[in-house]
Amino acid sequence: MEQEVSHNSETIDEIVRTACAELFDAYGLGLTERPPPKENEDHASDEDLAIAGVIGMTGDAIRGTLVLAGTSKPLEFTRSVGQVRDWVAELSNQLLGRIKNKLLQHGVEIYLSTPVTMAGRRLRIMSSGNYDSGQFLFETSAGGYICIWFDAELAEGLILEKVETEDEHTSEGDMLFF
Amino acid sequence: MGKKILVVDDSATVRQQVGMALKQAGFTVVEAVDGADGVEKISGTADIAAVICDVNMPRMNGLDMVAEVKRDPKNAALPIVMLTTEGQPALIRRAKQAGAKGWIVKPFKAAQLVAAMQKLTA
Repeated sequence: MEQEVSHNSETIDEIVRTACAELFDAYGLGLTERPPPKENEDHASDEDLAIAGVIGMTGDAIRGTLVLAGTSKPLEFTRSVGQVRDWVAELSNQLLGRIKNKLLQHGVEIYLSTPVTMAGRRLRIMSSGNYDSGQFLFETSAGGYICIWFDAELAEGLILEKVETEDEHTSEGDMLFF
Repeated sequence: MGKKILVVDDSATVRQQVGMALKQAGFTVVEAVDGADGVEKISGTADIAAVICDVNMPRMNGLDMVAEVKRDPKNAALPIVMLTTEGQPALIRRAKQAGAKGWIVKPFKAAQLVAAMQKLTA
């Protein structure tokens, strides 16, 4: 049982890290992971986390919430048009979309809700998930920070393993015509 | 006036990103905020040459919108391309069966999107 939990945690953490790196690389931003802050420790030296996209997910095997929060520099760097608050919601949607596509390769399907945005100082969530809930802090190549919380409850007995499928995998940036 | 493309997405940022790429290529852009708005815009706007549509939207999702729009024989030849984070094969098959012409997984490359629209509206 403990082994399963540990295996699932490692698998999900790797999926989230990879999805993050790929997402922001697509918008020209490099990420360097830093240790998540300890309790009562500030996330950044001189900036509070400014704005966050919050998006829910449901499914038979995994359900929970993804929060993508960022300070202003990386959000402004990656945004080409529109308002930051809408952009961070779209980023959270695209990040969870990438995570969804990777979970599909492990035979797990999740359904995404519509993202919402929140803004505040020293944003922090209280984890309710039953896996070693992922919190990831990245320093970005544009300065500032991106912080990801992947808070999830996993179905009992779930073991995340890649599955073979006859279906061709469609990746981000792919274009198909019928 | 350039050919008219309807962009359907609940994200204002995505509508603007897609719109900017299309306008720079000479297209005229009309926007809709969800599938239900998309259905209304298609029936109420003359000369829409193609549609770019998100999948996951409130009120009416993109796949339901395609099915609804294609019920009208007037829209049989209207090219609808899905632009979405989804890459699930079952959804792609469903879009094809509903009458969509293509599927793009975000993020999109502006040059490729423009080339696709130019080809579909030629």
